[in-house]
Amino acid sequence: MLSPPLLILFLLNVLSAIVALIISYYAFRFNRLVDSNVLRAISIGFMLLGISLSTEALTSVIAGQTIVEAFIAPRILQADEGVLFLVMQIAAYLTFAWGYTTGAFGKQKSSLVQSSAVLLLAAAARPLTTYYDATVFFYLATVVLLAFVVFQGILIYARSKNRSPLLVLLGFGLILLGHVFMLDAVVALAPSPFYEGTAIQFVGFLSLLWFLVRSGRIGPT
Amino acid sequence: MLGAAELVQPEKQRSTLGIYIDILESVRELGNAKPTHILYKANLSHDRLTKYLDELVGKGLIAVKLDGDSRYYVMTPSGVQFLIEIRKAEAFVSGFGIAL
Repeated sequence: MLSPPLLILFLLNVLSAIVALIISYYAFRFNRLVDSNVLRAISIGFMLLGISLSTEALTSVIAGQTIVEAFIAPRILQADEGVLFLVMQIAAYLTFAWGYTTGAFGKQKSSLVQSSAVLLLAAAARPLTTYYDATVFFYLATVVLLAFVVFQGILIYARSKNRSPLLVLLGFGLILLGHVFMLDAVVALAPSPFYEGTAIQFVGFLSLLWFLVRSGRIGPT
Repeated sequence: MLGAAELVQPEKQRSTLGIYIDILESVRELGNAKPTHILYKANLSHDRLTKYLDELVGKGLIAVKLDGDSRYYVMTPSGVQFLIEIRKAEAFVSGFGIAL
């Protein structure tokens, strides 16, 4: 039997995954009209994020504990199984960052920035020997990548001053804040900030859902 | 130090899709639209307008109506639907800093 906090965490992750997959679908659908690298990255990124969140929800419900709890007192879930969703998550945020750099700097200039970022990530990941170190690294890298995405979101909003970029910025900002809480939980091996971080992340996805509903409401004038 | 304008997507030339939208919006606003009126509203040269009008007719988004010597363009139901889809796409992509 699942504990109530774990059940809530499961539901929040499943709902966040559904929102991510819906956004991915719309980005894919509109990309057929617009044909943009940023939109392609948004579509792939949200798809990876949706799969990652579903995997996280599934592993936590099967094991009856979160990744942080698995480090404290492992039961069925071994920490290495938890790292799987983190790899997908980091791939998702790398894709967003890739899309935004391509949009901002153009294909040629951005490839230099992207290659440097990947090399830096690979170099930083090399000395990691334990799953715990790897988990801390993945959360830290996710926070850095999300900070870049949020920075781009601020620039986009500053230029347009529209409600849509603001909602996207708010969404990514809250997801970033959620991951800061999760990083804190992993570093301190404290389960409660992990739950709080997941709840904040879910509010971020709600903001993205609001943005989606708002853009879908537009009809003929 | 890079400024905000250099970091976000720079202003681009009007894309083919952007031109399609401008023509379709003109036709929708004008109702029975004469080519000259579309030309002014969509800000296109005569040659380019003819090319794009032919393309839009070929795609079934607008239709030609002949009235004596005059030639009018009207929206088709597919054209109306396309504009609705485009507006949704525009609202969606603007959230990520992409302009059509």
